[in-house]
Amino acid sequence: MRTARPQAWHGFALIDALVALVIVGIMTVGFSNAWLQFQRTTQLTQMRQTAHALLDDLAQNLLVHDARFGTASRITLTTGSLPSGDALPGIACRDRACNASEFSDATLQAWAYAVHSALPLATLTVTAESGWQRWEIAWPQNPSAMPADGTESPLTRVFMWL
Amino acid sequence: MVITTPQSGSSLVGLLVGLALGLLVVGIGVQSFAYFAGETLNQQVRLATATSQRVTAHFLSAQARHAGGLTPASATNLNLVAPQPATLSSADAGANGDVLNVAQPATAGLDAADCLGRSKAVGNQIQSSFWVSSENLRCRASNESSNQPLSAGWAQMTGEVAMATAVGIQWLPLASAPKDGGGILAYRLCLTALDTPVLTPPNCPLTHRTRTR
Repeated sequence: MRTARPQAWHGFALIDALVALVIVGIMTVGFSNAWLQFQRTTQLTQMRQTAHALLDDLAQNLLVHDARFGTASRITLTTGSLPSGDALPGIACRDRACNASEFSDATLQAWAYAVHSALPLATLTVTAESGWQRWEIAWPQNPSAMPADGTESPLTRVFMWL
Repeated sequence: MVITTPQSGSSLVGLLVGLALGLLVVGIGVQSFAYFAGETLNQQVRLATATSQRVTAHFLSAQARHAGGLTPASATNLNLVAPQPATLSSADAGANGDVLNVAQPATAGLDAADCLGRSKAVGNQIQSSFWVSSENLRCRASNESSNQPLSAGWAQMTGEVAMATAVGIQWLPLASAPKDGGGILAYRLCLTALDTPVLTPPNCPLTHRTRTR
């Protein structure tokens, strides 16, 4: 009577290969997500620092306005609509002295251009309340979710009172 | 009749292949290590430079803000005095850009200190001069014969003053500022690092600007 000899198999079994693939895939996805999250956090921190620096720079010019023309003049002339910031501002108040209106215009144009250059998607608002102004820079947390399909990204806001 | 015995162990070819693979792996590892070590070193250099520049900008800002103590500028109380080239001695190399001379009244007490951290007054004032030369921000207290490098990595320093005029405000070069400090509303300093393009206000990098009253 002849019996069949069991045949020895070498190499990986298919199930082992699939398990290994799944494990590697999960690790890759997890690592990618962690890395993406880290990068987003770092980027957000940098953008916040930039926004604070821009607000600080604006505050210096507004204080100069206060010193020469007074706080009431500053609030009157700078509250309202702000320039878009996509045009390079001219060099103002150098060839000749600026009055209050010209100085505030130059301040806002230079600031809007600086914000537009550093944070292109940012929107600027200024509101007056009880003798104070609230200056705000806001930008979308996730710019890729910006299309007008109802999934608009929430905004990150940085503001100061002056 | 030849009797062959079964062989065991690695063959020569297998050994050579193993050696080659081992060398390849070790080579890749060494290359990776060298790359990351280099990147780490570069990062440390950049971090050190950025830290030096940030500390310097903060130092200059503090010096400028302390100028004049808590009293307003007047013709008799020099706060932050515009460039006086004569204050640089022959031992000082030529300044690349403007020279900032800071004067603080000796009556400011502990708040008044020159760029070396001392309170040596000359004529009731504690004075310091700042300028950039040979890629260093340098300072010299008015009662010292030599200058002191504060930090490296700078290309130049320029400054402007906001002057109060009868009709408004005008930004003037630092050299045009009145030496008695009268009418000066603000100062704007632009410290340009070596690794950034030389820009002039209002395009001076924000992180290199400081302004005070």
